[in-house]
Amino acid sequence: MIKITGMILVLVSSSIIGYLYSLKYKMRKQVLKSLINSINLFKIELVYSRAPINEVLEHVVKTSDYMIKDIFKQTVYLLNLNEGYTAGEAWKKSIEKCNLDYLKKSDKEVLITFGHSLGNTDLYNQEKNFNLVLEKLKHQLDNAEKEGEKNEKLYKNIGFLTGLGIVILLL
Amino acid sequence: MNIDIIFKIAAIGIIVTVLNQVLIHSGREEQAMMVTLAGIVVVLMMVMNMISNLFNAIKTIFQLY
Repeated sequence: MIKITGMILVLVSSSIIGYLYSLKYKMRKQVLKSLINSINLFKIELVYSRAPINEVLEHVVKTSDYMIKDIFKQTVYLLNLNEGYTAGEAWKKSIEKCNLDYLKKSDKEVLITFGHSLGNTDLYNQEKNFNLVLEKLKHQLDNAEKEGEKNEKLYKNIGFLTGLGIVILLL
Repeated sequence: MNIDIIFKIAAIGIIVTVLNQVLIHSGREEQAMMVTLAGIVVVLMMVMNMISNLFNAIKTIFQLY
């Protein structure tokens, strides 16, 4: 009886561990998708309303996913402090501060590059900058999807099979 | 001579094969190799005692010492 409970516990826990490893890839895809959506919205609002960046960002904060809300919130906060941060610096600081564990280093670098020309040029070039970062993010998303396809199933299977192996050994 | 150990070895063999295929299919061949080797080591450890008994028995039967 206790043996059966132990077996079930080991199986379930190892499958969960495998699943957690596979979540890493799933979350990266989701975060990238929400980032693309929010930055798209940011661009459209900025181009059509020509409002200053912190007002547009307030808007974006309301419609963005809970995972990325922090970045925009933090940027708005830093800009509203009026301590002389440029938009790019505020953006860079908020990216480094928020916990974006799900994004890889290359994704974060894309975002930081985006920050460099944020708010530094006229509207037309801003739009180009946005388009560039959107293209880059889509490219990252493609990479992430390819990786995810390979790895998600792999880790789930490994988790379950290792648990099964341990159970058989201890049986 | 309980027969459970044969089932255990068979089950471990099946699991190692499946894991092997999954890893090869997703491109990680070195890890697949590692898993196979680990499986062999595990089975060997399970069976080690019996092999030693077997050799002892052979030695005493044929009086080879």
